[in-house]
Amino acid sequence: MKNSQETPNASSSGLDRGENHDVTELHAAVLREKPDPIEGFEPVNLWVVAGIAGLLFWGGAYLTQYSGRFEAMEFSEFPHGMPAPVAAVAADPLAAVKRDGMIAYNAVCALCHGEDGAGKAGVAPLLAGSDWVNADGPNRLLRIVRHGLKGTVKVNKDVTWNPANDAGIVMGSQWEAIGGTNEKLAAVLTYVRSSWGNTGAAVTPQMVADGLAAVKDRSAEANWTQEELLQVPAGGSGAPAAAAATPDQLKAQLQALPADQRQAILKELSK
Amino acid sequence: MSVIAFILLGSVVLLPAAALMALRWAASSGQFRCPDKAALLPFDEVEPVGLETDRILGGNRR
Amino acid sequence: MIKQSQTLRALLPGDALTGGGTDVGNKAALSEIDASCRVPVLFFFLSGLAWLLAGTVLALVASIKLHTPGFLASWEWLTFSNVRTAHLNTVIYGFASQISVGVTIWLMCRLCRIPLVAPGLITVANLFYNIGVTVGVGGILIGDSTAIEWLEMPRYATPILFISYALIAVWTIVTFRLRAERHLYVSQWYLLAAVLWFPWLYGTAQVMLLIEPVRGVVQASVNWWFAHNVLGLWFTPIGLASIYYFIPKVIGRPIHSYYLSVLGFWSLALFYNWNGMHHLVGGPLPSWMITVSIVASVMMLIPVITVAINHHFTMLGHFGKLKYSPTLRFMVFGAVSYTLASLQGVASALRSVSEVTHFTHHTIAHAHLGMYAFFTMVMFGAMYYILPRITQREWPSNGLISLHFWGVALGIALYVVPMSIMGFIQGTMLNDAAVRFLDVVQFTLPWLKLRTLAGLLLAAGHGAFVINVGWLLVRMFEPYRKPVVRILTGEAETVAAAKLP
Repeated sequence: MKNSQETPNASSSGLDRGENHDVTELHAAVLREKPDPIEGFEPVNLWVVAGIAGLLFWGGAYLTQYSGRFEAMEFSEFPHGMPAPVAAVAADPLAAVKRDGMIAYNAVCALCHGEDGAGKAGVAPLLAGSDWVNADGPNRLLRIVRHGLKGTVKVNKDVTWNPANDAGIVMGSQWEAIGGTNEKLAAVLTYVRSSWGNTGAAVTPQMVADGLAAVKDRSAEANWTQEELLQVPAGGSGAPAAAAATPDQLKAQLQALPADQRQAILKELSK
Repeated sequence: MSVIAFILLGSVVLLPAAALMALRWAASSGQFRCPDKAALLPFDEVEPVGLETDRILGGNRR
Repeated sequence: MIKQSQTLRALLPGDALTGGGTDVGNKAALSEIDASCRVPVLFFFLSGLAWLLAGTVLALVASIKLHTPGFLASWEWLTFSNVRTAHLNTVIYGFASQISVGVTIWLMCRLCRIPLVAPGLITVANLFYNIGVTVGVGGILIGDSTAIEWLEMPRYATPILFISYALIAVWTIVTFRLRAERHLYVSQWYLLAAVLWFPWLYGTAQVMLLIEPVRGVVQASVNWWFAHNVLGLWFTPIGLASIYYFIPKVIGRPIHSYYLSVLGFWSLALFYNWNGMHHLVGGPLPSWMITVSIVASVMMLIPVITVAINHHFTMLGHFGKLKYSPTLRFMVFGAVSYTLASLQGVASALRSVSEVTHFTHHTIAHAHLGMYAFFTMVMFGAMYYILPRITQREWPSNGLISLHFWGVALGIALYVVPMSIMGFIQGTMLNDAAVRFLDVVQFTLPWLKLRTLAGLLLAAGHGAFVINVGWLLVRMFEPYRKPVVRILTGEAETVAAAKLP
């Protein structure tokens, strides 16, 4: 080392020569042995050590707060002593039903009627704000889903939908598509009647069962027409009022029945 | 199930033991003793400290 | 041995000779080490690059399918689930692991200062390893995936992989045992640990998930323990070992602080292993398991920051050399990305962040930041250093090197930055019950197209690199034109001068 060789000269001319001399002489051997410590073993910065200590402290604190006392059956994601916040949403007793209906609606009905119920010109009428949907009861709606609908439809009194339906666009029975149970149909109708600003009351599976009981023998291919449906009261048990039946309507109902049943009735009447 | 239990319990004991042994070996064989020397290990007489070894781009290859 | 080294002297590369020019014996020893690695390392690199190309194509197909679902839709073995899975397994087991092994072998020999033991055996192991990967990826494409993330390869492929890997590991350790240099450099710590950790991870996961599956949530925790540790205990150590070797080597300056590097290694060894379960935040695991994992993830700041400080201060004052050295460029890009990826990982391990970013493209951006911007870039850098030395030829084209670097650097930046941002927005939208799912999907579409563009840039970079490597190989089989033997007898200066433009 250069320093150790220069020191004797420097110390002999300096004021505090004695002390200087002793110290360098004592360390001369050490100074000579070691190569210049330029790079490669820079000591660890004190700030790094402090940072590591801080991190370890945070780790301990977090561990005690969120460990759930190391219980096997403790699943809370919140610190000890803090009860899990309850969802602030007002509990809707029909939420599960509506959700169920939404899934079926989006998978089946939304293709034509739209996810927002706005319908599609020339294909399917709107459902949002429709007088058919918001009627007193679901009797007409459940018939449409059960057996389909053909021909033009007047929605909200003045708008005629589906002028092209004579060209072959027909809504067939969606019963199997939505799941083929009273519960599913009730869920879909409940969803439709409570969404997009609609105000219809919820539909129960019992209401569906009652409504369909009246037409349980009707073939799935026998699509309804607007005229037929308007004979059915929207609310109530859903059975068509017998007094209001004109001969034409009776004829139509008869034609809608399966062939063997129709034959049986005709045979009965001809007696 | 018993196979898994053996493997798991075995590894729970063996792996930390191996790590501790590695640490002990490193300490006893002086791996932590002269870090200034260790930092120089990638270099040798042929390619000493101060020699750039990958000067390819920029026109002057070495 | 003497005869061998004499023949090797005739093949000494020009760049090893123009440096010191004093000790011919030492140069010969260095060159002998490189030559002993030549065949196995070349095999690993070349098959790795072939898998990289395959993985790039699969990635592009998967990326296009995400925004144009009709693309190749009539090919049932190319459905998204197959392609995406095949991409992952191709790049992890085919590309990244093979390049890792190549780099590990070469670094180990260099730092142990002995030629490779049994290179022929390792070459055979490489052959079987490739058969294993081919069978595995083929099995995924025909629909035999196990559907366990990172372990999708069907069970009939894994024994081949495991045995050939074991051969490689054993011979790496044998090489280490026979080392001529007793003192260990920090890179060797990382390499040895990685070589031993990987079979432990892979074996444990195979037994507990496929051979004799554990039940219930334990499966999920084992799965994430494995998947995360493959990154942290197999790829990360090898990437860091490379950075710790190549940055000092290229700029000719020892690492800033050896203390810090030792601290970095042991804290990684202590904390990383616990990290995986932060992927299960909100899952049905006992909360202490997830909490421990989160704490360990945050503790990863210790190794990450020590490594970052160390690399930064080593480079300090030498950044100008990035202009001249492709190795240094890729290494520094990788080192910076390592810090960024780790910080992003620490952040998204926290419960409050994970709630938003989990199950979004943010996680995918993070995975590519770690696996590509860090690890793959480092491996490219290592290959730029190793290949000329084991083939003893210079890189044929500087233009292709630049094209490679800028293609992949811009490509991965264009991939990671927008995808991270998009993932975060996507997460907030998903958490908002008022936003319809379809709107979230539609929001991601333009970003996903941007990702395909980034993928094309990456593919261009890979193409440039593979062409350059192929060209290098062609040169290797040509006779060496420079009068190397005369350099050894003392005419080095004239030849070196003649080489300069």
